[in-house]
Amino acid sequence: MMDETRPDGLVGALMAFEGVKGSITALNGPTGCKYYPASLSEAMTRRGGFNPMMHDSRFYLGQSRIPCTYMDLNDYVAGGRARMEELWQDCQTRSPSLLALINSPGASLIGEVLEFEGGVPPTAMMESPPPSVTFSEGYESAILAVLGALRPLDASPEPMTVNLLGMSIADLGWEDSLADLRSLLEVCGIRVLAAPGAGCSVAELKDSGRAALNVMVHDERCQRTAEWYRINHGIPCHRPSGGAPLGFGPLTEWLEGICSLLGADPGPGLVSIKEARRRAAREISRLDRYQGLPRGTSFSVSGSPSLVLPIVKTLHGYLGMVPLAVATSEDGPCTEQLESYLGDIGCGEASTDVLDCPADVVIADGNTAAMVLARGLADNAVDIEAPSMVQVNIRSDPLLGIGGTQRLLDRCLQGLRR
Amino acid sequence: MRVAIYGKGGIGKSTVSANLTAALSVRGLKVLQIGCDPKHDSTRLLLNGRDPPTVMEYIRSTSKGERDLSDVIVQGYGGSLCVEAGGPEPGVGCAGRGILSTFDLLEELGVDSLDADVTLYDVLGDVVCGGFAVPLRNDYAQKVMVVTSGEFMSIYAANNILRGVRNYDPRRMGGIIFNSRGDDEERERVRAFAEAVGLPVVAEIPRSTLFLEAERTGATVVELFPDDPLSSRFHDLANTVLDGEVHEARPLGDEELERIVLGKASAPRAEAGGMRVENGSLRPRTPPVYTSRNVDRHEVLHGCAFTGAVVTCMSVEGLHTVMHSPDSCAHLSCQMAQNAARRAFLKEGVSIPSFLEPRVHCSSMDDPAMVFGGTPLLEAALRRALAECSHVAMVTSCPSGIIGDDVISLAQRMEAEHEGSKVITMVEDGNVAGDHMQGVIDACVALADSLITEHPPRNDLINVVGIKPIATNNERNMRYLESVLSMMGMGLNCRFIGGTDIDSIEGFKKASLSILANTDRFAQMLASFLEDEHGARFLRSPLSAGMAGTEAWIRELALHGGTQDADKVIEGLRHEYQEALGPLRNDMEGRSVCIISMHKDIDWLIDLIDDLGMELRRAYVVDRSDHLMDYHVGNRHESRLMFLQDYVMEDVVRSCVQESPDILLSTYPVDAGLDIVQERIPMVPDIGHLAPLELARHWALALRAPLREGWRVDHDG
Repeated sequence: MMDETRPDGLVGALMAFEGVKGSITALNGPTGCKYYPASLSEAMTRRGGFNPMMHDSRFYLGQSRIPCTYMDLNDYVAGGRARMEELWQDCQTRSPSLLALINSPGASLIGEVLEFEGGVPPTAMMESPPPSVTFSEGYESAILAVLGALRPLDASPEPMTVNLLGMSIADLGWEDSLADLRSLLEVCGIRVLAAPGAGCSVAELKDSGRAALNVMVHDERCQRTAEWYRINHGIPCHRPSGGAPLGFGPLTEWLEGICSLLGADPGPGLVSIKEARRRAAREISRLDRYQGLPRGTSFSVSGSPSLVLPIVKTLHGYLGMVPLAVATSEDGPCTEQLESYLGDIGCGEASTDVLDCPADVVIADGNTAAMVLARGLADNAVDIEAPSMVQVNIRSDPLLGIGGTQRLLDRCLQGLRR
Repeated sequence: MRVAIYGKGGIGKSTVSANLTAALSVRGLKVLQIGCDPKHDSTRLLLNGRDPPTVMEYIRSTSKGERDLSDVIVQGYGGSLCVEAGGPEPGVGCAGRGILSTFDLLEELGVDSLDADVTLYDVLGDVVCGGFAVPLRNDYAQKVMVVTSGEFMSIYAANNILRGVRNYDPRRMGGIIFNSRGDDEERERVRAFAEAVGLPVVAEIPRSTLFLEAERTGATVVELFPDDPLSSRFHDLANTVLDGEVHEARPLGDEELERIVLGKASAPRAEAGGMRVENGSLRPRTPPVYTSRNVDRHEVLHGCAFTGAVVTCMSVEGLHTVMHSPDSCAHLSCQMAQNAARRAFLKEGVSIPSFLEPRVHCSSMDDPAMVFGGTPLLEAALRRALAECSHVAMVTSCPSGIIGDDVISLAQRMEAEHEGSKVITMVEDGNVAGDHMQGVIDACVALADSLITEHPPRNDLINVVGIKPIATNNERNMRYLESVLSMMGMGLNCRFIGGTDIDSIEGFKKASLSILANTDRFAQMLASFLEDEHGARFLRSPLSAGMAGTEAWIRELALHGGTQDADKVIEGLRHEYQEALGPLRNDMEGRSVCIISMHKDIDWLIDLIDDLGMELRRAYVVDRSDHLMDYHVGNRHESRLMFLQDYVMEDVVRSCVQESPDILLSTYPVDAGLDIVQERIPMVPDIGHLAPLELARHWALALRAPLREGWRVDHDG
């Protein structure tokens, strides 16, 4: 993905706020900062899109999410406090579970204050979202603002409970991924209390202080969050070394790590994984016998490091595919492991430009994948980050877990030919 | 205790602050003094004349993971803790933003853990932007002291500070510190001001050479002359700061201030206007000529000019676009273009190279750039672009405009350094120039002015003007246009602007004629501009959906330059139309329809309804500021339409529902219940004689579907 087009910290922060169920995110800024993030939020939470005939109210401007103060030149000069206060009052009347107030870069530059006296819902604020930082940095700052505003319960830990950290409604199939991981943990007797940023309710977030363990899902997004829980609630954190739970190997490692720390029996979960592995092996074996596939086919991949690492490991180690281009959208704890893995398998010199590298399959966000297809550089594409290449998901379509692994394998293998 | 010392620049507040800190420190209190002035000399007298490192330099030079509070705090006289915010050189960047960033960083690094007994903010007070008001925020200063001399401008600044305090928690004023300049009458002026605003003068600091002497040795008077009566003044002030009462900020109006302080009636106001500040100098104001509706009518700005300009530039092949902005602006703009390209590719198999292979560069303005100015980052981005391409468009965002980066000079320098290059500068400053549509117009104007060159005009070529760069049916529409043009013995010259390249824009004048892609304000503005500035000639009839509209522009084109017989071409098209219409008419004849349209030009839709033998029961055309049309388009069917300026959408929908039509056509879905089939009027209709029939085909199918599909039972909202 090109640097210029990747989602940045402002989008990360807005999506983190939007990831609290029943919340309202009020943006103090121009409409130019509102339309796309609101549209992304609508799309990722499966709400209707832009419709000025239905969403006609003053601050929403045709959308159902992220009301804004439509700042203009006059506000930059004279300050936009008065309209922000009106928006704040409008939000109060809508009884959100959480009110998130955030300045746009311009509003932050002129020092707009977001504090208001009174108000019923708990309020999280970001007056100075740092400009030009990564999605993860913005996301995590907003998550911390939410946790600071909600103050999770300070109770003794409940055994066999976890919080899943680093998930976002901006992730493709986030709801299905969460359900997949939740059910895998549940069969092992482990309950997920909260997944901050991924559609959690305020009650779940408050409850998150009782978790026995925090588990990183996308580790580039939750280092500070894990530390916050450790300091404020004494909750230890598990960072699986294989990145996000995607691919049979990384998923198994992820589950075993959690179970070992909690003293749970991973057996039932491993049985589910084994069943899925058997089914996958049957399909792959057909391809192998008839076409000698997928061994020796190639792929290019672009995404966040916690996704790219397990994908590379799975496609290379499990399917026998070869990475020709590997790009990460930011640095994270998995970056070093990824580089080391690529070096170990003799692919240390792989290209970092998926847009300029022919491969059998491209795995990336929907726009990058479409670009690669349009350039004729690949025959097959798998979208792993927003925007999606499809509009409708009737079937469960998780990105992570057993279902996510099956999706990745299905989509990669589907278009292979020799 | 947190105290802010405000005052006009140069009035001596740093001297007062440092002496106050010294006085507080010698009594054993832990004092943290934070200098909030870009010239970073607040704490010098506590540090033997040394300059401490500034927080802003630290932010610029030290990566996030390596930062530590101890790196920006220096211990000074009496154990005081000294911090300097620092800031940009005069004339660049945004010093206010520097204060904001400093406070954020100190908080992030845990400044509260120092457990200072007194935190003293020394703040420049004649800069009134939000950044310098940070210490006034409720989380910070509990008490605000204002330093002033008896000079009017100093008192004026003091009054402004009271205004600033009033915007937050007004009951925090500790009083006025009178720093005398030695003028005989100034005591009276300060007294009069203090009385008028209801504040006590808590200290009077006389003019004294001891200050100069102390300053020469890099020390405070309190340190160097502890037994002098002058030091006692600061010890007394320290008592007041710690124990004194707080008062409400009650600033005066400007006229009242002049009357009380200067004792004169206010002068009549000079007539203002006609000038604007640009690059630091006043220039005659030129009202924008080619404007969007939002800008023209001072409406809410929908989207920003930055994105409009960027998306337009991105649609030109061979042009690189440099965005002088934070990453977020680049992301939002590129997504808009790329999402459209992705949809066009995946749904229609159409590849839009300029959007699918975007040639964009972003200066990635970060926190230091906001404070120190962003031109170094912009220069780097421009150099990257110019290394790859000779033609570069550069568009500016809100932050660039707010901090006043001089992008024009930089662009000129870059052009001079890169022989044969062209940097087309668009100072949109985010939405300062206007809404999205204004940006599209501005970009079209800038690109035309920079690129169009003279060519002998040809009658067999035509330009199409007013294409919307991100409409997904552009390619389909252009294919249709080219097919009709070829029937007329003509060809398409320049697509202005969308799916075009630099050569094509340069050769705009190769065509003697141009046609509008549609009738909206955007297209009209471009036509006016191209007529005014580049001598373009336009057909009166635009491209249109439907037989009548298509026939109109073909006949006009034939008169101006077409080599083929228009009648023959039209006859062929009409035959096709009638052929396709027949079966649809069987399905639709007698069916009733209502319309709620945001488009004002819906003659083609009414024609279709008539041709199908349908019954039009009501047709509303509703005005909206986020839609492109803002003028009366001279509809042929005007008498059958109801134009609504002010309306409640629920009432409009109810009125249609009461008519019980078979079909309700609207620009967006409306809440009309389940007894009426709803169909959409496309935002950017396909052009061509057969295009409306595609819609009718869908209407016919929709009427065969059940009104209440099974899934609706399961839908919870």
